[in-house]
Amino acid sequence: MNKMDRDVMGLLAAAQPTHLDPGLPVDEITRSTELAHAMAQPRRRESLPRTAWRFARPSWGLGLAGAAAAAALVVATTATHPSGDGDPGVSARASDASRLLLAAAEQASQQPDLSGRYWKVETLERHLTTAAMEKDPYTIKGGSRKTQWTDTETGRSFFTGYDLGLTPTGPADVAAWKRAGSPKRITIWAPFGKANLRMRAPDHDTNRGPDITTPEDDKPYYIGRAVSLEELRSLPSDPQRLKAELLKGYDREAAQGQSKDEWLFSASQRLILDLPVTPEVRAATFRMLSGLKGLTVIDHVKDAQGRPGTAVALRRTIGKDGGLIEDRLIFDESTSEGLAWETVVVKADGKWTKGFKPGTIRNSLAVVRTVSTDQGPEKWPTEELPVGGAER
Amino acid sequence: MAEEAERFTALYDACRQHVWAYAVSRAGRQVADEAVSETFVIAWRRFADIPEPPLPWLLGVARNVLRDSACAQARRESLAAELQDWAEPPKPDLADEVADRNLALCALASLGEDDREALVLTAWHGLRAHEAAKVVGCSATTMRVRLHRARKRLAQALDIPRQVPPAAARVPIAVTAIGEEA
Repeated sequence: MNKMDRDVMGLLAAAQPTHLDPGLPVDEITRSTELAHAMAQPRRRESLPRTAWRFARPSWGLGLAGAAAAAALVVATTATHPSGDGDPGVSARASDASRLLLAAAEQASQQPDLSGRYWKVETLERHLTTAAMEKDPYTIKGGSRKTQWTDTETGRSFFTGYDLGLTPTGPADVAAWKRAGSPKRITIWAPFGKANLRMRAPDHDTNRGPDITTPEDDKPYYIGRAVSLEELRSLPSDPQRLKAELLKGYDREAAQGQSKDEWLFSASQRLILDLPVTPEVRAATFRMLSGLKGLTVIDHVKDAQGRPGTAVALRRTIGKDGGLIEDRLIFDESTSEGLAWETVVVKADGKWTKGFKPGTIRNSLAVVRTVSTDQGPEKWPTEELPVGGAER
Repeated sequence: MAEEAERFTALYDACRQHVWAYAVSRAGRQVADEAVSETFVIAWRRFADIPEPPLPWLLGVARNVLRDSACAQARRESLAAELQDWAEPPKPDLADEVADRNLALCALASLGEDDREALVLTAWHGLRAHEAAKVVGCSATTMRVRLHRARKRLAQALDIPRQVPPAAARVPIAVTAIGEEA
């Protein structure tokens, strides 16, 4: 660059309009709204990690207006205690989790492999959060119903989703919300501060189109990292090798504070619940889980759908002061069939557990139905993923 | 996971205003907000893929979002309004320094879109030529050539290096060239 060019560039740099100064702070509400909107979207490479708080509603194509609302980063269902022992303080019987899981592995290995070309999974996710108020706070529930299709011959996969609205959780919450003036827009605690959400009634019209249809994704499955169908189908059926394979997705920094066992428990949940893996791999997953430390058994639980089952559970703290929660993998002991993954508040003394009664299910993922069929979906989405500029 | 959100938030805090300023300079304030929001939606979905440094990647995404934005007409009007602001003629009673700034903005507003973009990316967002090339999706060499030409045209518009007349005497460049390729 010669001197003239430098002068020109210097002049131009100095001429940047003040309102375009990148050093200016972002207005707080814009910031939290944009962050909430972004993180409400499904991840491409990795599905959202399941922790006590998470962003629920994927919302392709929603404008910003609908978007803050879409940030139903929230958690669980009505606050009924899921275990049948009547103790609201979440009592987990420290029993022989290992024995239970090995028996489940036996069951799993006897199940048939996929019989149809298409693998269809229907799931229901529910989440609870609290309004960010000092006095008289109330909780809000949200969630989504999703159907994922996989063509097992080509590996193509997509899902459609319906939003389940965002409303006060129970009668007491409705009353508190009304006392607050029945606000349409509310502010909630979010991981990065506060976020604004728009309350919305669930739309029960079953004839409406889905709220979202995702484009096809080459790595639609999450096992601690995102993988393709091919990778999923070629997972090892030896528990030790499977564990090693899963741990490839473990990142000490990203797992922040989670032990490898805690991380493995969460990362492998979908292998038990709904992924189109071979019976051998599902059995290996149960066997792998049987070797993890700290797992307990809770007999006779009911999942968020009210279905009876048995849970293996693992308590963990969220970050430094997030609070004590319990992850639960619920399945049918007699068939090994996966039912749900839930995150339950154990102590209401942390940042993410405050305001919830111990025993409250803050997050839940219930597998409503899995079908292996030769009948494919009516149509496949054609939309392409938006691609970053650097790649075009 | 909390830490994932924290890292994303840190990325947002570091880059959001850059992305917004870039979107404004390409499409004006009225459509910039929506584009920024959309850009960070994509950034979250592709979080694992974002290279270091992240800014060129983010600006590239913003550029695509703006290009794919459904309402081209709104974008043109929004940009025209923004450039009109830039092209306000310097007032006679302003200090020289302020007048120079106004003039530089005015000159920038008069350039074609490609020139303006190359200059904005380097002068305002501190990108090197190869990084600006990533945003635009061209080769580094092409970007260097574009930058060279853009600087030349900007200097012409500024009437440098001729002896600079008093700011007030300079005729503001009309905004008719907006949106045309230089």
